[in-house]
Amino acid sequence: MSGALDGLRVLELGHWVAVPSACAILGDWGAEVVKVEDPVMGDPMRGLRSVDGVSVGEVNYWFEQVNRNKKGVALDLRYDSGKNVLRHLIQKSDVLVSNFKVAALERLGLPYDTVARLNPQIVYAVLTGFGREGQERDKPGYDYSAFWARGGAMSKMGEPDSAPPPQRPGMGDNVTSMLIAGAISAALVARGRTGVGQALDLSLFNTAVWMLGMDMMPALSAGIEIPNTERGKTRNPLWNTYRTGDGLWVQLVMIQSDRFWPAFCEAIGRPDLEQDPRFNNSLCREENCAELVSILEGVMTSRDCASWEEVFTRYQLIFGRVQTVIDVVTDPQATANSFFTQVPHPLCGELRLVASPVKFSGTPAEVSAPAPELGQHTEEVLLEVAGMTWDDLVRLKEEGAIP
Amino acid sequence: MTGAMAGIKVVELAHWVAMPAAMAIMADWGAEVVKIENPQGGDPVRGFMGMGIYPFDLSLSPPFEMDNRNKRSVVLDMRRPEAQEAVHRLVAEADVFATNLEPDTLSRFGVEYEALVAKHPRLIYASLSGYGDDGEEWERPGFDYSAHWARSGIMGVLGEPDGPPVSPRPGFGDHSTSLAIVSAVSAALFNRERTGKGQRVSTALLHTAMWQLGIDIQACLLAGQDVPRTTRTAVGNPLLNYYRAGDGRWLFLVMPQSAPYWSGFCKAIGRKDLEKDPSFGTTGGRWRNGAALVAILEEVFARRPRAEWGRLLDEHGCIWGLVQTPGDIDTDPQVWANGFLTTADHPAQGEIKLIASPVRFSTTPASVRSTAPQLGEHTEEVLLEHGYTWEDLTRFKDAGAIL
Repeated sequence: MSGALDGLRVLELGHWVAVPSACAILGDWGAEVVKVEDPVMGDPMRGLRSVDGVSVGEVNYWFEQVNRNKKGVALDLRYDSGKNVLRHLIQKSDVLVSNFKVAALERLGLPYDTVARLNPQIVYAVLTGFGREGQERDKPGYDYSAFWARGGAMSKMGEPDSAPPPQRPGMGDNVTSMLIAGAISAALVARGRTGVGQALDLSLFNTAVWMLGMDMMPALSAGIEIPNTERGKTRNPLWNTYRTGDGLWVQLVMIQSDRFWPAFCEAIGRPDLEQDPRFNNSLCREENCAELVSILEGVMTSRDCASWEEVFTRYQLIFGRVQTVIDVVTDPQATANSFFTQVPHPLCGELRLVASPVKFSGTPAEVSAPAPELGQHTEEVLLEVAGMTWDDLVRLKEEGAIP
Repeated sequence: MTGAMAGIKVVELAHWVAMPAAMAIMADWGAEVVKIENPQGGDPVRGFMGMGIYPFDLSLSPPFEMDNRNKRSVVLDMRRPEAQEAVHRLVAEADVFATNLEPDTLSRFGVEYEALVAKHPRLIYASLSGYGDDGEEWERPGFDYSAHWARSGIMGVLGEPDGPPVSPRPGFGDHSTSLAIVSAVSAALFNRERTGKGQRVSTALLHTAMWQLGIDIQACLLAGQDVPRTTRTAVGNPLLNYYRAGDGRWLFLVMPQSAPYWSGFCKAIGRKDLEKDPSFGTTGGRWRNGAALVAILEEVFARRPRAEWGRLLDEHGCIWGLVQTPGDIDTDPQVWANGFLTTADHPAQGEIKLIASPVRFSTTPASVRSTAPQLGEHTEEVLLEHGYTWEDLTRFKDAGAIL
């Protein structure tokens, strides 16, 4: 079986995380992704050797995760000959994706109009930090700033009056990557109907606003800001986080608390609470939430996390254990569902990666190659895709446009 | 101009947030979405007031409006054979069937994948689970708090070391998952154009979270050790950190490569003495003395309000971002300049503001054409379109299959 996007060619002018990650999804789904990089610098992500003190010697796993399945072409776009090669590649591609700054794309002679003249069928997707319009259109945006901080999520997380928490590296980028892949696929569907491509305008900021929709809507419809979650005083104590006897945490998620209340009281060995007039329906529990949270905090420390899981499962309650990242990579449920995949790597033998987050029954995703070395496929792609000859390559090399 | 998904018909048998949000995006992009709801109140998000989420009362459910605009609502009691037959009739003319009901419910209603694919080989069957379609926990109900946020490691790795884990915002993980679902459905539709065949695309809340946290998870997969939580008081790069300004509002410095900005930054904060300071004058020095520099900067930033700092940082070419609340979004000029928000006429409320679909298409624009439907608003209209007669409807009503 082949992938959903088999036979499509994607040209990536991307760096860091969001756009490379989107192209990794497209690549997993069968598209041929050609990543064009500067011959000297390459994608700056290649040089990132540690995050928060964690690093791995030979293999840059961050780079691997978002660049598997790609062909690497090193091309110096400061040379006219380099730009010329890129124009050849554009003519032979279905999709161009970039998160270069809009001004940089213009400087490279790659505004949408020019690209569409070269190839009217191309889907042209550009990601910005803050959108293509407005005063801040040219402002560089990382997901920490444009997504997490500007989009409202950061200020809403954490207890009231405490410092807001930072996000994890690339979290906003990797969410945005799923949207970029979706928008490109939708534009390809539309191309089937209309015969032409189009430009797609995406931003980190806009994606964040979508994600925080349930907080945005009350602000938009009533000008009301929902207060930050306060564990000690959450209005529905059955929708809260508790520490268990062994110091691990459990997240309860019984949003419709009345439905689960009797079973919950039995599960925690407190049948007396069920008819207690302070707590016997959701309104009372809301009114007396601090009191109930404090009772539950006491109860929850009486057993360890695993034993609560066993009890809650037996009573069909809705909850989840709070895992660390290392728990996740050894989680049998994740393995049973092939949330990970592996690919042979020249430096470390088998390289384990996070698989593309959708299962297709007819056109499965596949990771068949690790991230390319800088410019690994330059000659191959220029010969096979751009239609150049060895003589052309020699000339480009002498000029310095390719390494 | 029509949307990218014009002509695509979707039958949504889904509730809560993630799948309805995904189909809202499809609808914004031009698909016709019919939402099937039960007669006992329909989608629980209609009743979100009073679930302990909002400390105020509105006559509409803000998140329901967000995730169900542009849809038609049909009420069917799926426990009745007439209702099941009607859904099969709708599916016969549809391109996509979208669901997040639990597997045993789907079988009981006769709409599991196997039942539909045999009769409709062109159908895209989009399903969502909490923990994947396989493994011991394949039937465990999953909300984004548990399956996405807690289980994936996101919650475990956010927050200060030794502090409690950070609570998510409602629907945050659902809305990120909606992006993966939309991309999968779009890619499958694209593939169907070429192969003529539909397929099942399934997504899991846990898997999309792992994609999102890919950088940390990838670190654990390769390094085999857990990533530490970070504290903002002792970061390795104090120019990639956030500070509270004099007016209590937070600003985020985002200069991951600090060296090129250091000199301008010192001028911006009026501390030229720091520029050549042996402790802080180099990237390595700032890394080693991070905690000391953060303490200095905390004290500096507390001296002026955020807007003033913003002007100074901009003047000196520093990259920084606002930490906003959802209430700030509505008045953010960058949001309106880019159409991140849109308005719609609500029958009861007049004009309401909604979050637009987070992509702009140059030739097949997204649009919000109608607000969320009343429960069962289009039951008769849709069933009549699918060949039922008024006599049939009367019979269904008598049997309790429709309202």
